[in-house]
Order: sequence, then C-alpha cells, then structure tokens
Amino acid sequence: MIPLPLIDGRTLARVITYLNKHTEDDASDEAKRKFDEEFLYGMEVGVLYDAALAANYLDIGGLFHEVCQRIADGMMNKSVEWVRKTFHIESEFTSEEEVQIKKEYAWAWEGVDSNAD
Amino acid sequence: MESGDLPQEILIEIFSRLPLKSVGKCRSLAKFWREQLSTPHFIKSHLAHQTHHSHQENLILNTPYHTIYSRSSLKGDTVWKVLPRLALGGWTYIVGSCDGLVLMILEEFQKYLVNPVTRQRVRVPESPLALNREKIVSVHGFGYDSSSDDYKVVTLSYYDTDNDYSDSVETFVDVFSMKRGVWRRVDSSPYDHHVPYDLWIKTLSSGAFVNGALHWLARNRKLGSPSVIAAFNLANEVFDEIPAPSGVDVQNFVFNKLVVLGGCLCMVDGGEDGPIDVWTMKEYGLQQSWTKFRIQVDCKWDIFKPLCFISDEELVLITHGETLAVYNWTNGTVSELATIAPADAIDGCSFVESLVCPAALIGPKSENNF
Repeated sequence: MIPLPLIDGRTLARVITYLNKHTEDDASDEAKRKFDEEFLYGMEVGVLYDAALAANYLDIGGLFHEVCQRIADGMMNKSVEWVRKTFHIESEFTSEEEVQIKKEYAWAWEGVDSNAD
Repeated sequence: MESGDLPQEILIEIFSRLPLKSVGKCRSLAKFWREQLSTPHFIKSHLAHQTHHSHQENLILNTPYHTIYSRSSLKGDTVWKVLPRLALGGWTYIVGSCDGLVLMILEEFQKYLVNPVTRQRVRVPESPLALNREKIVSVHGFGYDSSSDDYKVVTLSYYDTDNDYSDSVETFVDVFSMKRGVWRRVDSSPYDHHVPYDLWIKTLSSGAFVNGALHWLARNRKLGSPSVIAAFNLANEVFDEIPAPSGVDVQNFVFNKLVVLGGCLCMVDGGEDGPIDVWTMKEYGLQQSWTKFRIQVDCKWDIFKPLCFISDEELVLITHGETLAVYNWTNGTVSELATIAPADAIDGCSFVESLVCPAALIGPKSENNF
C-alpha cells in the first residue's frame, strides 16, 4: 500500500472538468484532443504532479496518461543531475561506477548537447 | 505538491514515456532505477508508448561497404550512423524488423538479431535442419507472436531446380523460437514459393510482418497457378491465404512486392518504366479495404520500393539507382530525401527505436542446436 495524500479541492475541480468533457455524449475525439491540449497547456509542474496522483488514485486512465506524457515531455533535454534533484533521487554509485554505466549506455549520450549531460 | 513526493510507481509511468536516449541516461540515476528501467515489463511498456506517441520510424540500409541507420527524424537533418560490423566477411542482408530489432544475415547464412540503437546483438544459431547450402534458395522473416510472447525467425527453403515453373518443388518451413532457443520444422507450405533464377533479384524477398503473421507472395498449386498472398501465422505456425486486391493481375502479382507501411500490409505493383501502384490493406483480411494510390514519376527515378512514411503525406522510397527519394502525394512530386542521403543504398527497411535487448530474448539452447 502506498499512502497517498488527500486530493485537494483545486485538483479535484480540475479532474471533474476533465471528466465532464470526456463523458460528453456529442464530443468528438478531435474535440476531446483539442480540449486536452488547452486543458494541459501552461499547467504548472506542481499542478501536473497533483493531477497525476489524483488521476492514478481515481483510476482515470486517459487523464493519467496525458499528464504523465506532459511531465515526460517537460523532462526532455534535462540533465541526469536535474532529474535527481527534481525527484529527490539519491545516487549510490561511485564515480567509477558512473563512468562504467555511461560506457554501457553510451548510445544514450551520443550526439547530445554538452549542457544536457 | 513537491515533485519529490511522487511515488515510484508513477515515476516509472513517466519514465516509460520518455524518448529512448532519456531512458538510457536515467538508468544512471541510481541502482534502483538501473534495474527498474531494464525490466522486460518496463521495456514492453516503453515500446508501447513509443509506438503510440511518436509514430517515428527510422531506416536501416545496406550500402556495398557497410550498414547504416538513421537516428532522429527523417525530416530535416537526419543523422546517419554506421552499424559496427557483425563479423568479418562480406555481404549483409537485412531481412526485416520487429519491435526495434532487426534480423540481418551475413554471408547468406549467419543470422544476427540487432538493436541498431543500443548496438546490442545476438547470433541466432544455425538450424540443424538446414538443407544443403549449395543447392537451396532461402527466404526469411522475423516477427513477434503475442500468444506465446515469443519472437520467431522463419525460414522458407527449397531445392533450386532447373525447371522454371516446377510445381513439385517442396517449400520447407523452419521456425526458430527465441524463447526456447530451438529450431523446429513445421508442415511445408501448401503454396509454391519457387521463383525462376533470373527473377531472384526482383522477387526474393523477406516476409512482411503484420498482424501476427509473415506474408510472402507465392503461387497456388492448383490449375493455372494463380498468385496468392501467403500468410504464415506465428501463433499456430500454419499458412493461410489473404485476399489480394481485386485490381491486380491474378496470374502475375506474385512478381510484385509486399511491404509494411504505417502498420498496414501493402502490395507494390509496377515501377521500373511506369507508374507504381501502392495498394494498402487498411483493414487486415478485408478485401474491400484494399486502397490504391498511384505514384506517377519521371522514369529517371526507377523506384525499387517504398520504405516508410515520414508524415501524413510523404513516403520514402528507395530506387534502383541506390538513392533515397521522397514522394509527396499532395503535389505528386518526387525529390531526393532532403537530408544528406547516403549514396549506394541498395536495400533496407524501417524500424522503431526500442530498448528491447536481443540477447535477453534468446532462451536456453540445447547443445545439438550448434
């Protein structure tokens, strides 16, 4: 069991807005896609995290997927250090181990901007 | 809320939507993430999202000197990389790809399964059942069987005879299960896959994998030898027939080509001196769903076959002149691929980027298999 924080009122309201659109009888797929675009556009990262938790807890697949994709898109070109800091990940690797891993997955670092290391 | 409070199960979901390179880098985050982002479950999940989200295909091509593949989009500045040699020796033949793995054959018999992006490779053992190499003709196919969660290599072989159209030539069917690591001979094909020697260059081709089956053009053994689209189902390992478009010549479509474009089985009719008709089976198995579009080009292009879509309106083609061209069907034009296209590209196929590790797929092998 993973303890989840209670969903706050603001997030719940957003989830309801999403559900209302997606359960409309006469909303076409195209209209829903457009809605998702606008709904998620410019959403602050903290709000996205809340939405991801809420959608997961309430088992709303479509919203969960869209929000996770949005968060993933926002991670593009960020460095490994950034990911560690942002998600509070501790690395227990020694510096030799880090070099070793980078060699093993050299293809992931090919042709990359130096500041995205 | 704080991002650091996101539970690991949600982080895994987020990571599974990252592009390939990002996942590779994230494996260096911590030991936990190195493991989590390498599990078969994660790899499958990542592949599913890749296929859904980006629709991006890359190309792997043979030139006389090496094999090259594209990284990043085929629109704009494509980055081409050279695949490290499989082994010393000559000609490498690209059979086809599935889930980011490409089956390649070196010197006609040594089979390798390669992930071009991660550069991992594994040798597929020789079949102990293989017919005498000097006298046979073989074609191959590679695909995934979801019913057994297994990748399979299929080899069709027959003894080359002097008779151009002998209907008594048996086509043997051997199947290699990656999971079990063994070859099996199944029932011979009910169809005639034999083609005359002088047509080998045009017609010997790999199985087109779509909808859980490998497809080849062959002939029915009944009177008149009409052409058929033979489909080898990877789950039950038997052949069946798929209806061809009603607009093609039933005596001669065996000399056409089958390719998979945008996830659909396509039949390519024509080329060389005339227009090319590309028939797409929009709904698998449904004859009425065959839809044609015609590529009318200057004969200077000498189109060999289509490779993949770049966008909704552009198709990459490979020519007999060993170049890559792009056909735009909105304005009906053909142009050179707008990147520094490799010269002398003889053949190839498209593939999706994936994390699937070929060596991890191959199961225990019995001594007898070598």
